[in-house]
Amino acid sequence: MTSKSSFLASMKENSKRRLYVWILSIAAFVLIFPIYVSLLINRIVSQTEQLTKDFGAAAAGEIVHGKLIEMMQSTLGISFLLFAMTVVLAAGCAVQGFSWLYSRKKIDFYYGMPVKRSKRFLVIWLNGILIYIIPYLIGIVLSMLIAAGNHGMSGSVFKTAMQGLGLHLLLYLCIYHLAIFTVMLTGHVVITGMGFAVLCLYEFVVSQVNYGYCNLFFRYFSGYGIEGNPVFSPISMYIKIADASDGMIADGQLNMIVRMAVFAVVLGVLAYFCYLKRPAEGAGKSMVFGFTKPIIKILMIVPFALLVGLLVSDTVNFYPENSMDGIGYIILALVLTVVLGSAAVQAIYDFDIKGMLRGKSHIVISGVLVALIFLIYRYDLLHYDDYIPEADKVESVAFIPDDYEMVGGYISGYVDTEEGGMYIYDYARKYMYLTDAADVCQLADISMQEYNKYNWNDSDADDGETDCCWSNALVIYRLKNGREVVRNLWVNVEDEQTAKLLDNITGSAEFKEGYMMGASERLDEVLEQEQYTVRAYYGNMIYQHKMSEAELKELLACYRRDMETFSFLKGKESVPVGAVRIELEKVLSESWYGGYSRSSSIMELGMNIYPFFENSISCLKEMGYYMDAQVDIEDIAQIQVVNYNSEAAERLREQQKASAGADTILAEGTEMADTRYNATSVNEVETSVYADYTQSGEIEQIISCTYPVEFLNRRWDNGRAGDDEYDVIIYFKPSSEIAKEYGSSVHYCFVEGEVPEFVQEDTAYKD
Amino acid sequence: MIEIRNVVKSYDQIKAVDNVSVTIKENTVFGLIGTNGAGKSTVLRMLAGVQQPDAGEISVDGLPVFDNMEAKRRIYFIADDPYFFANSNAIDMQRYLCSIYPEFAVEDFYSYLINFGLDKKRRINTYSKGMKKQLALICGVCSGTKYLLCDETFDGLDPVMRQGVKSIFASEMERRGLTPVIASHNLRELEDICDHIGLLHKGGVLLSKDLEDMKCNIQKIQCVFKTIDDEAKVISSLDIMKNEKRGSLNVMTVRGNKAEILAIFATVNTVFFEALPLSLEEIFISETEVVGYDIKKLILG
Repeated sequence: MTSKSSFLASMKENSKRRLYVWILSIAAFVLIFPIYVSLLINRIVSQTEQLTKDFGAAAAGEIVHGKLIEMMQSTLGISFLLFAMTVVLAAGCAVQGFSWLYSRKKIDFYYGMPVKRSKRFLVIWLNGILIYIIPYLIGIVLSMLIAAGNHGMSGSVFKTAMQGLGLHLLLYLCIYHLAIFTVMLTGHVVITGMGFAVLCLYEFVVSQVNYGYCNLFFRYFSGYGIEGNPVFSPISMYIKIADASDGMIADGQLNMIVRMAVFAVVLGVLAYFCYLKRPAEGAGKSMVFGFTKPIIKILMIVPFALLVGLLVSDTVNFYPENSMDGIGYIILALVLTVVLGSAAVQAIYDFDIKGMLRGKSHIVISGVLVALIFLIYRYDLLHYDDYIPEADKVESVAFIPDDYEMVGGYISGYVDTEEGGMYIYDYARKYMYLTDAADVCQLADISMQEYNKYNWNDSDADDGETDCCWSNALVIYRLKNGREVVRNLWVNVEDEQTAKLLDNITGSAEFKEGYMMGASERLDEVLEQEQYTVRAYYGNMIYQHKMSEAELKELLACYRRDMETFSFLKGKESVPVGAVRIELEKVLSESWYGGYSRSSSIMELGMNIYPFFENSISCLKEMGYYMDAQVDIEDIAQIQVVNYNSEAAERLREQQKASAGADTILAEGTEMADTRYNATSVNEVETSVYADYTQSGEIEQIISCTYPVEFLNRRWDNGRAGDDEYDVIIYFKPSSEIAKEYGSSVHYCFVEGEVPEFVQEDTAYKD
Repeated sequence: MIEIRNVVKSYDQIKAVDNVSVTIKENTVFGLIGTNGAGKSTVLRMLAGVQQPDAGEISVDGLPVFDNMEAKRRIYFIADDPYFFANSNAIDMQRYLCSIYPEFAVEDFYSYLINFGLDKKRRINTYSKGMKKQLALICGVCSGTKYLLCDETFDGLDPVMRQGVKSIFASEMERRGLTPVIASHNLRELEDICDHIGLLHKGGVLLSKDLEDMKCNIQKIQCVFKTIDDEAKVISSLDIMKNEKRGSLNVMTVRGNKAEILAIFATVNTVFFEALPLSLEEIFISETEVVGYDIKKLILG
């Protein structure tokens, strides 16, 4: 009896009740979407005439066809328009389909009928899917027909459209089930709306709270990878897939698609279970299941209060690393949010403002949980900051120093054939597998012990007297149990034992494979990709020599041989003599309208050439690009050296203090500032001394120990640095090529401790 | 037969129905009487399978009713505020109900519409409250179910319509054994329709009796005895539920068969004697006063 015909009759009847949702869906997919596609097609096709004039009929046809295919793929595949339509329709369909559960009158009617609850659910659920899928299918078929009529169809477009359909259907199911689940838990449309918003945002808020508190209280916290993969947010999952995709779904996104499918199934089952258990008297109530009220209230209030605490901590500049000033405000904010938040939720539950006074035990429970969580972060009760895995439990490690491979003041880019441009952390995570974890664990142990002792409030500790230079590195421990632990490590690169460990780590082939872009043959594969236009240069950012691709390949082979000898200590003791810079240009879009134009992205990769890179240097010499000094002496007209004499400035300041009293000297704030800039003027007394050199002998001596500023600044290894006391301004001959290319002068600096004696004498301050 | 056994239903912490047991026989009109909040609607909802009891059992012809299609096919529930599809007319409702109830009497439906003066093409949301109740009743009667549960359906119907519905009920009962169950807070509205009455109060059943039995078993007598001995003899011989004395006039409510009572009176000397018919209201007053309730406050208002 409950047969196919009865089921179809129920479907038909249900559809009648949902006419306006059908109309909305049809309007969106069957009317607006094909019209939108037609307009896009028209825009491309309208260029045909111009293109025919410019490139001839055959070429124009090909260009238009290519553009149409590209447009169709991006429109029918993963697109924002389809995403937005899917989300809106899924939520709308779910709420509209089951909104009768909000009304006692409708419940009496429907539940009074001899229709099984399960059947009614199935009918409404299935109808909700058909409302989406039928117009969607018609819409894309119409769009493809329109495209085919304009020679804009291909197998790849069809494939992309089918992929898009699959993914959007999955997204639809996720949102649809999430919204149905919310309807089942609530008895009023307004509460459903609020609940749906909470469910959509919950994972985001919790992750933000966790991130914020970890960042606030944990010294070795790293935000890298913390966002992980979303598990409770289909929108985030979709965005993650879309980010990694280019119209078509990328190969590596299967995991995320499976997550979406699992989410859809779990939420669907939960929604159905709640539907079966939902009491008829739940209609009109805020929450249908009484026992969920306190649970949901507490689950909402706790992260919300912590979030408010986080916002207040930011407002009052709470920085626990230095002091606990401002913690009172945070605690007050936490308490107030718990109390007022609980009261507000209770008032919503009861649809009565007086309801605020009820549920005091919930306030207490929420308060205790908030306090507990706050204390866990504040006192690191879970020992986040103490954690160093045992070396034998570690499968491999990625040790990723921040900006270690600085090339002429720029951070080198990273790229591979699968993902294109990458951040260093992602690149190293993917390719660096240090199997000797003991060195990294020991390094972490030493560094954390030392860093914990270091008192950042003690200004004397940072006066340069101590042998400390803290550099930052991200460590990814891949444990044997499959877990991945990330820590942000501070290492004292001046510590002898640390340096030795760093030497081992950075000297290993695994480190170079995952950190030094040029050391891996992976770069060759990238360079061979057709999508890139490759340009390569050798120089020091002032002087640049363009290299051919063959030369680059030859140099890379030498560089890799040299890299085998590279390690931390060797690098630290040296100053790069030059750098190889590779530009990879990728065309993003082309336009033929009103003449040819295009937009492209350029990635820059860099490799330092150190003085001990014998193979590379001899190769560069053979090519004629190597420079013995950092400037071609033939180009120099004059060198001016400025000695700021900051010690003299300091001495004068002290003398003035002693003779004239505190009032006459510079303001306190100015006194604390960088001596290099104060030194020029102490009560109008100039301490900077200038010396000009035009003699070739002097110039030769000076340029033998000067480098472009960028080569000596901000070194992760705190290696050989520039001397801040001196500024070397090199003036080029106006007739020289470099003056035309670069400008009339350039600032260099001396390597610390290598200032020629005659320069020191010429520029010393004399009272 | 509908059997309700020890049914309990609470809303949050409030007990709406407390251990109710009632049996509703087939082919009778069962009236469920009670004040607002007595639990009538809750009992009907549970009976219709809309709500599930917290405890106890409800069966329709021996079948448990909740989410049981076999049982629910025998029931049609008309809620106190009946629902009709938005912007629908009587034809739409008929089509929908036809898809649910295979035995829906389409011809009867349109014939009743004409008889009740309801326009089949007019949108139902333009109907008056009384017209909606009439339509709901017509839908229920034509659904072809054995049991028709009506929650406050007669409230607001004018006497002519009530009479019309009463005659429909009578003919349907005779034709196919329809058993209407009618819940109301007003006893007077059910007096001329019901065969059996169940009285609910504060979630429990005060009494459940056959109306004819009640009428036959309670008599109202007015009399003036000649002597005190005569009076004492009668009082000791009869099951007197209530005896009001106004001067020498005794107004007695007596439980028992009319003939037997008259026979007892025949053995004594009376100056004046009259046996009066009792209204349903009076029967209820007497029955409930016996168990300590003031029925006037409960259902007569």
